Amino acid sequence: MTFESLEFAFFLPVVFVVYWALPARAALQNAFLVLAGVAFYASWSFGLLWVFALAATVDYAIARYLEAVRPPPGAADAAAKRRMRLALGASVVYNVGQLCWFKYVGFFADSANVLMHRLGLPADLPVLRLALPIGLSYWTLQKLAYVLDVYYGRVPACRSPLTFAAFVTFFPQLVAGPIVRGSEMLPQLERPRRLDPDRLAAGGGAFLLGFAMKAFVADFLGQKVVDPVFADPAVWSAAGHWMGLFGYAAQVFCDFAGYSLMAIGVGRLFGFELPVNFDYPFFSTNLMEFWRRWHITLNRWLFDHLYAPLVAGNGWFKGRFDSGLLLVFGVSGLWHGATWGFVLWGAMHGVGLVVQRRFGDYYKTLCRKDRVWVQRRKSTGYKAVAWLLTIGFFVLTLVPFRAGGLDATLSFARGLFTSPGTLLPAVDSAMSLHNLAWSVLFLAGYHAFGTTAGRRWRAQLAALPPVARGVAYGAMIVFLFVFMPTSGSTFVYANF
Amino acid sequence: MADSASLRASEGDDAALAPAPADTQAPGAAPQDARRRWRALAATVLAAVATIALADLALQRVRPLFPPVRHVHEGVADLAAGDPTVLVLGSSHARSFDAVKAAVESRTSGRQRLVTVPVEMGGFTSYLWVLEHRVAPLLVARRASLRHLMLVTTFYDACSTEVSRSDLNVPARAWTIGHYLQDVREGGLSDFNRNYVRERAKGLAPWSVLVQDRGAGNIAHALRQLVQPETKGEIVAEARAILEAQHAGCQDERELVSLARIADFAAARGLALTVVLFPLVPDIVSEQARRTTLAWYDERARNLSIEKDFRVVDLTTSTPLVLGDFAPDLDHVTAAGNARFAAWVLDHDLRWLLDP
Repeated sequence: MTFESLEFAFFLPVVFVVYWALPARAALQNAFLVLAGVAFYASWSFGLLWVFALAATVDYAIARYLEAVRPPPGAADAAAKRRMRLALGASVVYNVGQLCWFKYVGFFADSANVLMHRLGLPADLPVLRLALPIGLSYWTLQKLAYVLDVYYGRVPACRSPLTFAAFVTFFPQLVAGPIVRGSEMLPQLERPRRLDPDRLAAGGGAFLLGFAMKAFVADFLGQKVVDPVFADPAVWSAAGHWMGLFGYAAQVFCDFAGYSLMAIGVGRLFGFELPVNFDYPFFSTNLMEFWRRWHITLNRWLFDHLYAPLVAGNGWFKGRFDSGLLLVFGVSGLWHGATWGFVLWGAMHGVGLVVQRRFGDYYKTLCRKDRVWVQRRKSTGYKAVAWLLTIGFFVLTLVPFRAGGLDATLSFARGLFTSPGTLLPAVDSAMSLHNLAWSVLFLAGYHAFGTTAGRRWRAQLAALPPVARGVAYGAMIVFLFVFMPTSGSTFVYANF
Repeated sequence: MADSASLRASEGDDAALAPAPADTQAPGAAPQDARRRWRALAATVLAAVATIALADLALQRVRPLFPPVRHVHEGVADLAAGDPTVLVLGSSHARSFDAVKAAVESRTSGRQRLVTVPVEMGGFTSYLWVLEHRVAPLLVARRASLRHLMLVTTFYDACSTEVSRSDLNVPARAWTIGHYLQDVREGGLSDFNRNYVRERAKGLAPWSVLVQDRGAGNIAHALRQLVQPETKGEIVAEARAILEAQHAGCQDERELVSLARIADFAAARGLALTVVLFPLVPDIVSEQARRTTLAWYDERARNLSIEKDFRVVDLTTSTPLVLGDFAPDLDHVTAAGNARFAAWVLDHDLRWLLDP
């Protein structure tokens, strides 16, 4: 079940009431959270629950082993360190192997067959199409980060199997993140939670805002603008292609940022604070800033556990920042899915970041020669061009991300400039136009609240009397009841 | 180069919505403060609920709640409880046959007994599901008198929507909890089986137009009518255009395969099958629609009737029903229209119903 589904509307109140009716003891609350998490996970893929349970057991055991064999600080116990490296290697192999097996084995076999056929070699590798355990990409990274943190001594290994089980099965972030660190969640799980009205209010507000982003904006744009255009690009005009592409940028943002807000909101309802996943990424004026603001928890994982150890370690990548960036975004592309479209998307962003880094270095030399370049960088014109380039680049790279295959990508990209089609999406009915206008207004309003002035408005809104806030929430719910689309949809990022 | 610290969200992100975590607040905060915060939360929730309730009442003035109508599970229950001679299965149009049923049962002194099973939004695939999963077990058990199966259809039953959309589950209203659990066990919660929950959830709030209208779009349409009212002529023109355009989307051979299987179902159980092509508003049936959308369906149904030996009764434009006999949706017939329809068909194409 997804957060926006009807089933969740029954699941959440029941779990909420029972959870808070329990005595305020961490063990009891965690046990119930595990039950709720298992039920939530089983609603997606009951048959693959064992994959999830086994993976959690393996990492719990390895982390405990790491803690047990860790030599005391300052001691030079080579054998213990070797055992720790072996244990860490086992966790990495298990987690990455599991990810590759379920997610990539079919893709690699398929690609190898195509390549060998093109080389004129006989090839017929069996192509396995396996059911993907839901959320695999998220909980694998979360557990791997935990084992790495234990290995490096950044967090102690969790002693209680129950607490660890609650950590990995915490249902608000089980399916699509945010990818939390052990240091963020385990201390919260070890303490008993108590009902707090402010936290409940903030949780409800975040959930409602995220719900509107997902269930109204993202679903409307997906159904009426994006899906029709990408399904059959030839019938849509060049302007229709651009609408589809910008619509997809807005859809994927509202879909995932909305999901993340709902996850944060539900987390608060149960007394937890989850990390923020989006921070107004469309305000970014360079790509690095963009990736600091978009899917924050994935990107900090990639930089903490892949990029930083590589470029700051002693291996071939040491000091090779460009190669590190290309690798990280190659991995990020593949993480999103096993298609060449995602690989191309990752490569484009890797190259984009390298170009930006080189340009930054070049610009610094200009600044050193003449301070006027420093002033230019602060000018509105420079910022406007930088913003256009950043967001324009991001939007254009969504073509391979959404179109899928390379042929489809090229075909869609051509359609952005010339298309035999004549149609425009979402203009066929007054209702579609109405919802399109509201979606644009919603996005504009959301981002207005992210500006400096907007933060003041937000503070003023938060200071409104409770009754006025209640009326606003009620009006929003009525609007959603009347206008949000009905046909079922899942979260775009739940498929990754 | 970015590190994890710089990758953290900057100030002003959506965490700003969060309060300070409870455990970081001053210990031993005054109980009055706690009471004040709980009161504020309660006031917010109550104001939100009151707003929704008032909006619901206000919207009922714009779009009144529909009176309860008969659905498939009620039809199946009547079939299980009674011993009918004619089973009338169809989409919402099957409800028009409640008037026929009353007239027939009165005029034959109960010797001919009809039971109507309306499958809202139904097409041939969903009719087949209802027959195989809900009707067949009842026929095996008893129902000795059942002789006729009447299928109330239009060209719309051969549209591709139902078989091509995994999220559409028309027979969900006919599901029992067992069908739902079995589907969940086999494939988890899905858009398909969610239809069952959605239908049952609507039953929890029959007094709320917001709940009842969810997904139907009638409130939005009524609001638009307030702002920009459409004339009857515009509505008719729109319906005419839709009928003509459906030529493209309503030629799904897969639906006709289901019709063939329904014919086999009837033949295997010794039931005489009659396929009724239900009346359309005469004003929306243009010459173009007659030549395209309607001709395709009519021809397929007739060809199949020869192959499978069943009767086709085409009432599309032959009845005396006029625009005023139809509801504002230009699809369903009013109560007065149904009475006229019943009287007319029993004197003409369905006269045989009076001769059990």
